[in-house]
Amino acid sequence: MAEELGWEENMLVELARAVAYPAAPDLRSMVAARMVDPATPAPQRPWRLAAGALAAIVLAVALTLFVSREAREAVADFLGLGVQGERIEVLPTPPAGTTATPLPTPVLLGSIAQKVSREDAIRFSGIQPKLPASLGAPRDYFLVGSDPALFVADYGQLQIWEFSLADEIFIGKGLIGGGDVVQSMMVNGKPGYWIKGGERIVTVMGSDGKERSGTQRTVLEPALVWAEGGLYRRIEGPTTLEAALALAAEMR
Amino acid sequence: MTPERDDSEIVAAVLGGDRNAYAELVGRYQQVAFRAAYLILRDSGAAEDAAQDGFVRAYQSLRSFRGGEPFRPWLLRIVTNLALNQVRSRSRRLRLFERVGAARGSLVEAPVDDSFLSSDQQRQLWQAIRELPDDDRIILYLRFFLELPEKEIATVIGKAPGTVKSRLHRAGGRLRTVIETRYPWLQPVAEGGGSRG
Repeated sequence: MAEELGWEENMLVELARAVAYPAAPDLRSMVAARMVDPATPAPQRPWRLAAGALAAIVLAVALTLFVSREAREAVADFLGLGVQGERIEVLPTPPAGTTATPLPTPVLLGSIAQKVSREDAIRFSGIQPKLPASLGAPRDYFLVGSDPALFVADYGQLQIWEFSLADEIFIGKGLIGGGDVVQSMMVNGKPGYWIKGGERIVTVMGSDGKERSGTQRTVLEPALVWAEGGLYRRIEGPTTLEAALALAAEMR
Repeated sequence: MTPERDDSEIVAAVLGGDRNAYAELVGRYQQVAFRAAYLILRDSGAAEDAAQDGFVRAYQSLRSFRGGEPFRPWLLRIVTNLALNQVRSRSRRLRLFERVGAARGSLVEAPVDDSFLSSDQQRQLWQAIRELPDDDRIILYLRFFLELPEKEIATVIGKAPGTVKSRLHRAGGRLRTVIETRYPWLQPVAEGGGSRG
């Protein structure tokens, strides 16, 4: 920088000297903690942990349900596999002699999402969707959330959800209840889940561990979820696994 | 007294199974990583997250790090990309709410934090820099604020070392244009009263 500088460069030098940076935190222990398991999510600040824990407690209390041993075992079976962007938890079993609180009434997609044009759905989600040609054009497009938004193509009886894993913003959190079966499998060569059987809660969680406001749904239809090409993908509503896999293959 | 190990020796030790050695690299470069993220994000909490994520990702990709190369620019490339991704996410969110109207939820975009500058003139110059394209801003941050040599800048921006000088020149020229057109009062007054440069 000792060479001839233009006036704008001299201004930059002076400005750089004037910057009062906040004290840099000591990251060594936090980084070391995450090095134990490369897949461990970022440790959260205490207030975030508290907020996340509170949200989890509220959900757990509100959604106290029976759950079958089979479902629990199914979840345990694929804990080591995992679909990036998806978390599945089993609803707690209520004590003997108590009655489970019913799940919330299912809501329409339009009540938790913003209906938009195809162009806006792509622009604001950052997703360039590759949708199954065999389904024809979606009936509607929706955006869920805003940080950034999830992309949803709605075909009426079937929906396709996508979001970019690069943003590390969203985690689909499924709380499965009694009668649900979760089957782990490969979808387009990537780990995936086929979930069917009963009612379940699906909500969008931020990477801060907090539920994205207004995104909780009760889902009855089967769903195929997997992560591929940097995207989380979810086909909700196919009646059979074979049909779901065929649609997934078209999205490859 | 044990002489300080260079980056490549530490990386070799980590890859050889001495995971604790990585803390030496974190301690060595956490300030510059934090500052790089802070310049882009202007939020200390977000900058801390980006710097921390950068170190973790660098660790996960350590086998792709070429021995003999400096660790700092390789790390800064990861950190600046993470920080830029955060900015783009925020930006998409803001555009969404502007365009779609956001019937539900409340969005309050964090105001630009320029409290780290003490004078109005500095804040206006900072604003002028913010109006530049990402590539221009980043290269100016690297050169003038983080004082990286051109060779390291080349690694961070992923370009050939020979192009850094011309890219710096181009970014400086664009900044000059922004100042001349939008913040003309920031230009230095030459002897005789006119602007120079």
